[in-house]
Amino acid sequence: MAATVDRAAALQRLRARLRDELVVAALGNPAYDLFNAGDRPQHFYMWGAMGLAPSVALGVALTAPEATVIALEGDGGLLMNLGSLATIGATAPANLVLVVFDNAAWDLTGGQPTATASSTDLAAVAHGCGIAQTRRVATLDDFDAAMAEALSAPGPWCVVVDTAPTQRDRVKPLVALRRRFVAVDDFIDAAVASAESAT
Amino acid sequence: MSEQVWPQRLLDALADAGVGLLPYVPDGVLAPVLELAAARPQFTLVPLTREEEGVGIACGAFLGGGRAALLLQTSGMGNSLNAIGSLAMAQRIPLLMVVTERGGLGETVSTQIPFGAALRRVLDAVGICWHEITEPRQVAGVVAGAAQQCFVSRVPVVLLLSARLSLESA
Repeated sequence: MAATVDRAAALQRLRARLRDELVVAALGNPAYDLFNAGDRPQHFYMWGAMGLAPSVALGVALTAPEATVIALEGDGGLLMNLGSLATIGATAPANLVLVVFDNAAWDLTGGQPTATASSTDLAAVAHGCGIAQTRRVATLDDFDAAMAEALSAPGPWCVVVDTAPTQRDRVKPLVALRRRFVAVDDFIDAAVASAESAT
Repeated sequence: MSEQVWPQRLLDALADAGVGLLPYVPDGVLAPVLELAAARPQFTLVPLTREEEGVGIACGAFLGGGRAALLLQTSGMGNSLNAIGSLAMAQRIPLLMVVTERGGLGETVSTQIPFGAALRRVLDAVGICWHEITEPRQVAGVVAGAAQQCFVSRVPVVLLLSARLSLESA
């Protein structure tokens, strides 16, 4: 059995590394774990539109080319929007880093298996869509090393993380997050500020 | 062949409204718009795999401090509805859409008719503002007003390019 990464621990490592980067987190566990790792104005948390986190991040990356933009998605979400990989490959934004937490399941709805449990290799799909800087990691240290590289070298990047099933007793910060779901202006201000600081 | 004036007017009005990013799924009616936009440096065209993806990209453009207009045809509205509701509307992110009408006057493809015939009622049911353009002289004013309604009031707005518009010469 391959080693698998705890998503909450991985996002704590990533959070400690962040400076000015903008982060778009998919609904559910990526948003919960990012919020629990430490909120910042530069975080945009989704609450719906499953699968669109990579597309939202692409829109930010194309509009704010001076900023580094990180998308946090799961395997279930990415499978809903595999076309986003083709569009990221075709537009090739150097400032976009897509992180896919692949636990081979729809975790929030009870752990039903997705196609990555049996047959689909999301890193191969990303690579096949022209995202040359694609990595698959299976340990926390390898995730950390891949993110260090992704945040310092031009992309687009796709880091597929072999992720452990979520523990059922994990804290969901629903009430605190609800305020942040609609507070998008902080994120916009941060994106505009990153453009201004770069000029 | 008579050159139509509405594509140029549409792009002029979008540029005046500060729109720079144009995610699109192509359509015969949109073809001249896409061709003209490709020659204008203020526009960045993003070809999509599916319209719903463009809802995310256009919302992301606003989050990044810019403005986008999503270009699609009637059928693409059907592919995009939940994303419009659960992202743009739920999180108060403005979303400007330019939709070419299919399934109406002169339609020859029968598969376009069920959703095309229902489009206006669907938009009303979801609560998406829409403004129809039927003549070239309406383009500048309606696009400017729709862009202001969209980006200032932060609501999704559809600019519906009537089938009549493309029948019309300059």
